[in-house]
Amino acid sequence: MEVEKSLAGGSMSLLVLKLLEGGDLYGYQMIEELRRRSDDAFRLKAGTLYPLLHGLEEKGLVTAYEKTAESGKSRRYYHLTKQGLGALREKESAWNAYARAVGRVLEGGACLA
Amino acid sequence: MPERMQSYLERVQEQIRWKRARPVLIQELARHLEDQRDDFIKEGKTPEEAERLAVEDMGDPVAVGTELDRIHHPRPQWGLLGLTLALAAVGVFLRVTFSQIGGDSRAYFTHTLERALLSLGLGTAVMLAMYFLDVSRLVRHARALYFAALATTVLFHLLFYPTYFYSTYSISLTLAFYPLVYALWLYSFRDKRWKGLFLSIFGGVPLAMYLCRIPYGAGLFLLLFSGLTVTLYAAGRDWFGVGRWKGLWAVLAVPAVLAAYLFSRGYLSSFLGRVQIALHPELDPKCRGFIGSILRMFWEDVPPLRHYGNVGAAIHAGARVRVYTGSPFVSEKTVPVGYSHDYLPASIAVQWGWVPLLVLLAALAVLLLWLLVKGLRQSYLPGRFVVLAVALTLGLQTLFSAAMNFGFVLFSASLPLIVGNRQTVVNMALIGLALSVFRGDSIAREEPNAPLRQRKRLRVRIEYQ
Repeated sequence: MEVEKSLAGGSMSLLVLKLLEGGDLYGYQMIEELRRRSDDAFRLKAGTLYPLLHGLEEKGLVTAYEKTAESGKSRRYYHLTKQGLGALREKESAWNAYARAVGRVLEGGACLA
Repeated sequence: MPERMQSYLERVQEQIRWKRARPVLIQELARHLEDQRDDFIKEGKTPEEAERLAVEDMGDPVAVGTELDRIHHPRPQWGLLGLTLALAAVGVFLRVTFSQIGGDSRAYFTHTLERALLSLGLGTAVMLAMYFLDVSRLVRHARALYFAALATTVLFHLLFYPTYFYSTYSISLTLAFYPLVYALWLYSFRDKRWKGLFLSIFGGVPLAMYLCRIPYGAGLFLLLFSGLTVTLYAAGRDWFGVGRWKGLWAVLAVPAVLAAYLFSRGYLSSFLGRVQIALHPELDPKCRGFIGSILRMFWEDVPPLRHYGNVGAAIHAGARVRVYTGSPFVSEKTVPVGYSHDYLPASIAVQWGWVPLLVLLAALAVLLLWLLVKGLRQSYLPGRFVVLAVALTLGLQTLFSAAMNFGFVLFSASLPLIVGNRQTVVNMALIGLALSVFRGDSIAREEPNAPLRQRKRLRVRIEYQ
């Protein structure tokens, strides 16, 4: 199932930061990893990912460096900064609160008097 | 690259207005496209189909390009450029004013308005040229620059030594670039382990030996201090890949060995003697502490502010002081304030009081601290090295100059942007280079294999039985 764009849009930076928490990755790896971990639900387009990553870099939440990947080709890796980790924690708790609230509403069912 | 992918990237590129950013940003997208295409081919698609799917997966090129264009644009440094220019203009005013004032100082201040303005114009042009320069080019040719600096030094030595042109002032102009050249040299040895650490430190030796040969104490101290600071900074980030603490201890061993060597040759005790005289010039007022003693006498009757209707009169009233009778340096028991360009700051105080001088020094301090703080925040590491070297060079010069003018004469130094036509041009070039780092930070990219800056994390896992 592919998740609706508008639903995923706002939380994409949360997912990218979360991916980087596990280790440094380059763009292509992130897309693949996101797809794998979401059971193909998130098929992020490169055209969305790179501006997002560059924006996060601009804010100091991630840093980037060039490194030769296992394939022998040079790739631009992204690394979560201390500030990025703080932002991730905040986004996580906000998301969890939001998800719990939605969950409670859904669990309540249709209870119109 | 296949045509379909090429035209996609060109379409993205068309949306990015900053020319310098284009190749940098497109490279990342091109690699992504190639990875995606290769994976599709592995899945059994034909090359053409794989290319088509890879391009489709990228998303709309106009939207991507527009978004990248929004994020990446040059960061203009109008504030710092303006402050530098304003200080250089104040320098022109001061040099010309003191040249026009009568008295004995006239012989020493020979700046005409035309020449001072020419230096300001030339300095501005050089500063802007550096400002628009791509610093990563310098970084890529760090070693070539190092050897070019050595070759230039040797050439200048062969051509001009020991002529008037080879005065300390002239030579200090080229030597102002030494800390910068050294910082770039050091940058080229990342991850080269012990060999890199040794070579980067060894690279400072020819520069230092030359400064000893001239001899140019202020330049030597500046090179050693800034070199040590930059090397310690690099070692602290495990630049050489030998481990943070090992690297730091190895770098710290250098000043210890150097101090031991200087001590064994007797240089250290003579330096300490010099420090003692700088602090207490009254111990030897007729010889080594002569200038220090005179400068301290100036300060005895300098008010916060002084108003003079006639500038010529000011020199007679305030600039001449009684000095020791029988001194071989002066006649008529008087000495003018401005007998050397380096003492221009003290002349400002004598002429207008100490408040204007403090305001000037504070403005310089603001500029240099602004550079330093901003420089250390750069994500582009070589950029940080460049700014650190520039800020230390100009900062130490300011510090030496201020100390000397207040009567603590340890090293002779000219106040940056204020003293000297040629020096102003050199100073503005250095500042332009630092500002170019800030301007291009958004797209500054390091070469492959920069050291991994892994954060050590403590992982605590609680498991429920």
